[in-house]
Amino acid sequence: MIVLKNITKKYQGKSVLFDLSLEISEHETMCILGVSGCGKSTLLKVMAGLELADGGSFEMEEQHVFDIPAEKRGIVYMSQEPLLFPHLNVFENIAFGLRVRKWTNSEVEEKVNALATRLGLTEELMKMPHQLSGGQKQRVNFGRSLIIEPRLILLDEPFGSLDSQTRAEMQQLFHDVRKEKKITALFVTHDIKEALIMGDRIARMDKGQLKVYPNSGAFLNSGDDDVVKELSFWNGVINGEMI
Amino acid sequence: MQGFKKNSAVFLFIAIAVVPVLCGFIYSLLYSVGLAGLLGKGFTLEHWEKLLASSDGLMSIGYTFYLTITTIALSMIMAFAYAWYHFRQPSERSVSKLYLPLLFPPLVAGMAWYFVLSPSGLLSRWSYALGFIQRVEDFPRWVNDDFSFGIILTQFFLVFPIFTLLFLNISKKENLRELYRTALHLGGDKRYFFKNIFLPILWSKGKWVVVLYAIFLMGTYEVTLILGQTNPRTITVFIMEKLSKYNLNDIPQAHAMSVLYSTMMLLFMMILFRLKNWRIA
Repeated sequence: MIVLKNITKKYQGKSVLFDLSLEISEHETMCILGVSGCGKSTLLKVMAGLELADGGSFEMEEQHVFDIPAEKRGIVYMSQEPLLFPHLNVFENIAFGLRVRKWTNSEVEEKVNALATRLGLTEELMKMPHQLSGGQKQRVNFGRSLIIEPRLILLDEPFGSLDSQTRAEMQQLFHDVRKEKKITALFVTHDIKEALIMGDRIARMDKGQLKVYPNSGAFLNSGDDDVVKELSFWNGVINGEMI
Repeated sequence: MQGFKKNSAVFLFIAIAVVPVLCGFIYSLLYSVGLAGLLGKGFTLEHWEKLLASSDGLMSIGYTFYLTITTIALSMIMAFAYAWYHFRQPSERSVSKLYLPLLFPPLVAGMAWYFVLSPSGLLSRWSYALGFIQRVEDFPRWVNDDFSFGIILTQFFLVFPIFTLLFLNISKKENLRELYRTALHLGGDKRYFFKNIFLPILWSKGKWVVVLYAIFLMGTYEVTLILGQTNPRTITVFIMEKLSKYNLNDIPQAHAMSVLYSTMMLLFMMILFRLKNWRIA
């Protein structure tokens, strides 16, 4: 169980996160929706240890996470930019976390090959990052995060820079893998459709505060402005009013 | 049109940069085997035999490598250390100071260090005035000395800022700060990042500049001329002496040394190009 209580964060006197509380169950993916600048990326960075919170607590499996250095939290942060290590090939990029943990070569080989097969990267293992497409890079990034079996994955609009087809493929892949590997994740996006595909639950962030909906249905029936706009758009398309 | 422009640029490069050097190389080769020059009396290997038999010429080659490798190694270590320090504690002010030594031509830098380090120089005088030494002769020999301390220090002063600026630029361009964050999340600490990401990336992106600068450094002679001993001397000083002496019989040896040095560098570069993935970590 992941529990955030009364998290606050200010930048130059301006509140970005205000008394924010949140609970995420094990193996659950929660999607956070919000406009740019509403504080959703800051929340992930605070949880990952990239930023310090001004107040509040963060517990994971009854451990106080704020007391643990970033490299020992077992939390992986995935951003929009895949940021692969440019001097390492795909195999070594995926294997990075295992090498840090001093796994033997045979163990690394076995685990990387299995994951690469699952992610459709077997043909790419010996390629360097500059030889990959945007979608392939994000797959490698995903594999690199997944292979160390993190306690929590924080995804900060990870598919935001991909074209629509690759994005749909990656959404499907993440959806399947998260169920298969029982991942606990916090997924930040501004795309309602993506949130509905990815999340077990959805939350809306506004001015540093969160409103969490118990399920997708509750979110769709909430009267949220963006949901209403999106639904009326698609109804319009279906009824031929938009063509 | 695009193809014409590209071909013209290649042609211009070959005409200006390659042809004169190639002509010079061929002329030196012919001169060294007696087929060109004032004293050329037909094909002979006499000058090559003289050069290779004399300890003087071979010592010059060894000495040049010693100076270059020591200077480059020291500069690289310090540049890596500075780049890491700057990575941890960024400061634009400290970087701007690095441009200062680059304003000094090697000749001026050599003279400046001579006035600082020589037995009659500033350090020696201050040491005497402050009572650290009893006589000026007690001051350690740091110029024209056996270990070429003065030369290495001066060359370090000229090379270190270039390598540091190179590594700092690579660090920025390759987004190392973000890669550090990524490595941290995957469990790597500062030490692991330094050894497995920071150093290998700086090296893999900067190695060709380092090698080319080492070759350039081997070809300079001002600093070694001012701060070096008469013997051993660097290849460039050796060639200069043989060329400018009154003994015309020595000139073919200068050409032979030029050919030998150029061939060695060419072979060295060819080997490096074949070893595609040479790395330090």
